[in-house]
Amino acid sequence: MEKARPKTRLSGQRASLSVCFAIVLAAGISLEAQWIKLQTPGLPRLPDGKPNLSAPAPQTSDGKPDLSGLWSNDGGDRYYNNITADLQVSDVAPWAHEIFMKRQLEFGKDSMETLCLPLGPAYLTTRFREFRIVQTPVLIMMAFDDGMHRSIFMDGRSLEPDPNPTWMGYSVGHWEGDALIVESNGFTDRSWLDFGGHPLSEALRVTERYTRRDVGRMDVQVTMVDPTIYAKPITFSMPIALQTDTEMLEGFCENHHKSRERMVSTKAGDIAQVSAVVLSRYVGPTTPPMTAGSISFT
Amino acid sequence: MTQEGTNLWFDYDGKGKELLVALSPTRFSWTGSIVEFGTTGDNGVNITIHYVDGTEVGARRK
Repeated sequence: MEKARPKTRLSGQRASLSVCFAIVLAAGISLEAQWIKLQTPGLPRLPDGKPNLSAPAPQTSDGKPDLSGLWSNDGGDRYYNNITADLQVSDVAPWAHEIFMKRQLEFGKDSMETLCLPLGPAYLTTRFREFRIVQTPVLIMMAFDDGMHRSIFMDGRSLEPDPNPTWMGYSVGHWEGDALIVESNGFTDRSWLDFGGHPLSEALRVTERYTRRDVGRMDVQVTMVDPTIYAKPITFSMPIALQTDTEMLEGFCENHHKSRERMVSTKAGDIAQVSAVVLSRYVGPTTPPMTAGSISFT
Repeated sequence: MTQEGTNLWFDYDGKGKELLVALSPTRFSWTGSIVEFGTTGDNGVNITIHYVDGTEVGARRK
């Protein structure tokens, strides 16, 4: 399960080279990250000079919504921590729940973050990564601040039925009215769906629907289908926000193995079997709700 | 706090439900922190979260 199948896909490699070249050109802006007083060009502005984030969404010269810009997830940690936040345990294959439990006990020491690996599908839910959308009629690029990128092909091609698995998968897109629909497959099962450690299979299919509400906000509706693991589709909405008057900084991963060496897992012998009756005493909300803003340490 | 069979989940501040791993009938591991349940005189339940950098106390009304 952990092994990627070796395949050759020359056309993909050529496309990747072109894409890398495009990223280098586009990232020339962000890699410097020195223009801290430069206003983002082309944005509508209020009389006080601040970006007018409520102005109508811009369009490209061919009349499509223009999704270009620097974006960041604005929907909190709900699905990044646990992609099954809206599912039941019974919706998850027992073997997959066991893997999730193991990763929980290990506090994510083999997570993508700890091992300095690409987040794969979890880029859709993390709020710790910024990304720049570069839009052309035939290709939309998403360049992340950790150096990874997604290529969304808009040239009418279909997804391959059995692609060589990769961390970022393969994506094709099309427009439905003002919404960009992106369909992806070909994710490696070495990746995790969330920081908590839910696994995925190479059968995973992801559909994203991007709708730019106005200048400052975009809604992303995500559907993940992986029927060998999850009995129901995983669906959620993730608002993303335009990052204005700033530039993307490099955010690469280095030397996390030094942290990993010091991570201590919960020992199997420390786990207690507690009956459902006892657990039921703890169910319910706290009064008042415990929120991050209310924390007072003693 | 929600329960599914013998799984206890904690949704803290709307961050999404996270698994509590039982270390005893009253102590649970929550992604590295310790959640501890106690009882109050009026049949309520106290929740104490032990972080590396301090302790947070909440209460669940019965």
